[in-house]
Amino acid sequence: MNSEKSKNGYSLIVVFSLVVGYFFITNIANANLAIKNAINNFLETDTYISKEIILSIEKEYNDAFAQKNQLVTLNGIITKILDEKELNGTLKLENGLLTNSTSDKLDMASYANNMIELNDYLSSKNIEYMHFQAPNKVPESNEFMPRGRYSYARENVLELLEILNNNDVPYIDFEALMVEQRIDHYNSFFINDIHWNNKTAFWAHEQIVRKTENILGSSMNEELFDINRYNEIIVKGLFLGSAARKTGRLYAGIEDYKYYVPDFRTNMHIEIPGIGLDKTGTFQDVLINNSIIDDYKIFDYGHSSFFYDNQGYVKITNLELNNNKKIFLIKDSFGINVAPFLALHYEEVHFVDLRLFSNKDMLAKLDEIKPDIVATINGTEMFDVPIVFEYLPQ
Amino acid sequence: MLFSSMIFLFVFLPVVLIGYFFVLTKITHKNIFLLVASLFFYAWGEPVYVLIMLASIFMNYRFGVLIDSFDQDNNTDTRKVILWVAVLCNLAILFIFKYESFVVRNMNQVFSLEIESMGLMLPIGISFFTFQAISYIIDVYRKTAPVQKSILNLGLYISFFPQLIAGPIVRYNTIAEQIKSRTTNVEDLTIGIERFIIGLSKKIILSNNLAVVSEKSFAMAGDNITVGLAWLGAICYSLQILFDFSGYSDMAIGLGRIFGFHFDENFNYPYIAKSVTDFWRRWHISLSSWFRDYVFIPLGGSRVTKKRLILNLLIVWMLTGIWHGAAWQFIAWGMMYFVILSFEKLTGLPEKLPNRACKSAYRALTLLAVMVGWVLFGENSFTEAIEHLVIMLGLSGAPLINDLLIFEFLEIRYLLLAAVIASTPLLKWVITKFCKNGPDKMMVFTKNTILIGLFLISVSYLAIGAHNPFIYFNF
Repeated sequence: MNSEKSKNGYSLIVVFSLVVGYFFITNIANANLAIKNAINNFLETDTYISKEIILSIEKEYNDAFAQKNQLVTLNGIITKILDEKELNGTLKLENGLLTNSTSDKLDMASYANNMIELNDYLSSKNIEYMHFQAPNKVPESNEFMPRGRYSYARENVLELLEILNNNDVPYIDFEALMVEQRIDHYNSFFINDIHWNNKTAFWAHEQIVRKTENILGSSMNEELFDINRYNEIIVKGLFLGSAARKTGRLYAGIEDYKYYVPDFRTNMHIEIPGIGLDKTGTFQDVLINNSIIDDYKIFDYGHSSFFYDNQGYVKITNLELNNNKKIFLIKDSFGINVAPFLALHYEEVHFVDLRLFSNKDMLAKLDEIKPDIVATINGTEMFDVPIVFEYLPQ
Repeated sequence: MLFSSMIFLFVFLPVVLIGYFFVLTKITHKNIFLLVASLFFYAWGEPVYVLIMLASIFMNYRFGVLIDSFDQDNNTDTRKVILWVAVLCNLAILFIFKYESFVVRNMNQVFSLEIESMGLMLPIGISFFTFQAISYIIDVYRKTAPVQKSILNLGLYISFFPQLIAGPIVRYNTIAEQIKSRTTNVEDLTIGIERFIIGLSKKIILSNNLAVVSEKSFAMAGDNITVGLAWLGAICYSLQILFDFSGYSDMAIGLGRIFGFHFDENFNYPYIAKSVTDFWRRWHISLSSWFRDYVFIPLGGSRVTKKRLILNLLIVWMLTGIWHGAAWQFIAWGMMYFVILSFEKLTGLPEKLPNRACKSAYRALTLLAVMVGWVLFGENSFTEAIEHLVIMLGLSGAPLINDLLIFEFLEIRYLLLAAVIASTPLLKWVITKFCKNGPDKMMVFTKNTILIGLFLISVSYLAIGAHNPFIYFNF
């Protein structure tokens, strides 16, 4: 009887020890790195050991946890069993698509004022400015939002655009254009990601180029808007999207990844100083990060990774063009899959992400490049990230 | 450091377990190792405030030795003076860090003064370890526990990481012997692991998820909230605080057991209490018994005149309220219990109830009173708590339900049901019923599988960075 009792006891001790031991051993390197980085920060900042440093160790350890993706998947299963719609900052719509948790009503005046100031600043340098407002995954009608949830994203956008309109700042309201052109709203987005898909990005590039026709003049090539001149490439069974990565594959489902590459001769050059990339080749060879398609690991990348992800500064030069037209985008992740198509029309496309690049350095770049047009392009999610709208140093 | 964190579960805990069970053999070495680990555990959350912990250890060690040294000369008055000095020193530390800002702020308001507060951050767990230290000093004074001659052992008692930040408040005489000599057998380890996993699951799966709803409801009080959401928030908070607090206690008791310490129980299904008096016999037992033994009984207890009894209860419940936080809402919460408990003590009503229906009704009223208490306790301020209660009563003109309430309810419905069941002894009753002759192999296998499953699910919530509030900042 006693030996039976001991055996029963041992089984829990052994399994618990194995589980904790497994997580411990497989994450030793992760813990070491987190501590090493914290020590380096501590030495660099020359401060006493503060709570912030300790929190940074915990955050780094958690973020790099070796079994994180499996645990996220497990959590997604539990959430699915519990029939919960909201998980880890994401919301499952009634049509099964994932989006971010609802947006609150915000005061847009300060962001609008920053755009007006940027417009004035650029006018003084004889550079055109335009704002491109990407749509929110949840349309103005809030269709398919779970009952009891409401997104104020569109209301925020309309408030922003009204101020821009009153101050003669030109803009494109992509959601309004989608309604006007009867484009199905939800089909314009990835299923498991808040971003517009690559087909919509292609459509968006056409709207941008048409809106900036005065700059391109006779060099604008209408034929480049014909999607039949591009090959649709489908990578089957890829798991993508920031929303899906936060909820796990079994909660969100797996989506095929489609992208478009020109079926005509291209010769591009890309420079991304932040990752030391300097490459010349065709559109597909240069603007698409083919390495992650060849060696795609579920969870590792979001769709933006196909375009080298968000980077501080990127320059694309179309070596086939010599119209000497330059566009400078101040963008968030919505600009990532639009910029490559713009490079088919503009000889130079420059883009910065103010989350990763200082506004002071951006102004220096503007002075150096002297673009024909500067455009801001962002999604509504950035309304919660004020730094993205701080264009001019205070 | 929090138990409900990856760094605790997969770095701190394995390292401490390996060191304790596989590297060290002598109890003295093991105690020193646990002391160092405990100080590291505390410093992880409060790098600078570990000095307060060290000061408390040193100070109480010296006071204990001093009281004991006068014992040999039978010098009662001197011992009493030292006891009072020791208690006041401990309370002074608590006052400076926990109550100074509150007192200065209120003095400034009442007397129109402009005294500048020191504005110190509250060291986590200061109320717990200060009360442990006071209990040690009083026990030594009362000679119910021997003086601890080793500062390292006393340091371990005060700072032992399992019960350091959220209790239970362990009495020195409970573990004095265990510090000197203890062993961990297979049963201790099994029960320890079991309790730890149950506690972790209560905290992460139930409490943290319920917190999402209660925090939303509390944040919205007076602003667009329906009567239904106000109630749902109050119910969720009542269950959240139960599973947060009892979850921490389970983890502490479990971890203690793993290292060979046997702590007393801190919770006993408080929401099935027959009366408010019964509730406080079941809720945070270590705190209520601390106040009973070190405040209420020394004041004369119940065997005094009615007037004196009321005064004694007033003092105890004023202190209980203040112990939970330096804010008027905690005092109001304490006063609410003073009124109800005085009523129960003076009328003896709960014992006089004639039949089952009356008893059930009183049980429901008890639960309601407790829930009202939690609204006072959990809201952001006293005013907001009153606003919340007004909405619950339907006096604010707020609608009964809306879509948001339906959404929140549907989101939490299964976990809410699980929480309600887990707050009663139903599961325990079912297990006892089906395992009359002790658990068979299949039962043990099922139980262990469920436990490991619960552990992995809990870890999955940590991995996604789910809401993980820490409600002891006020304590």
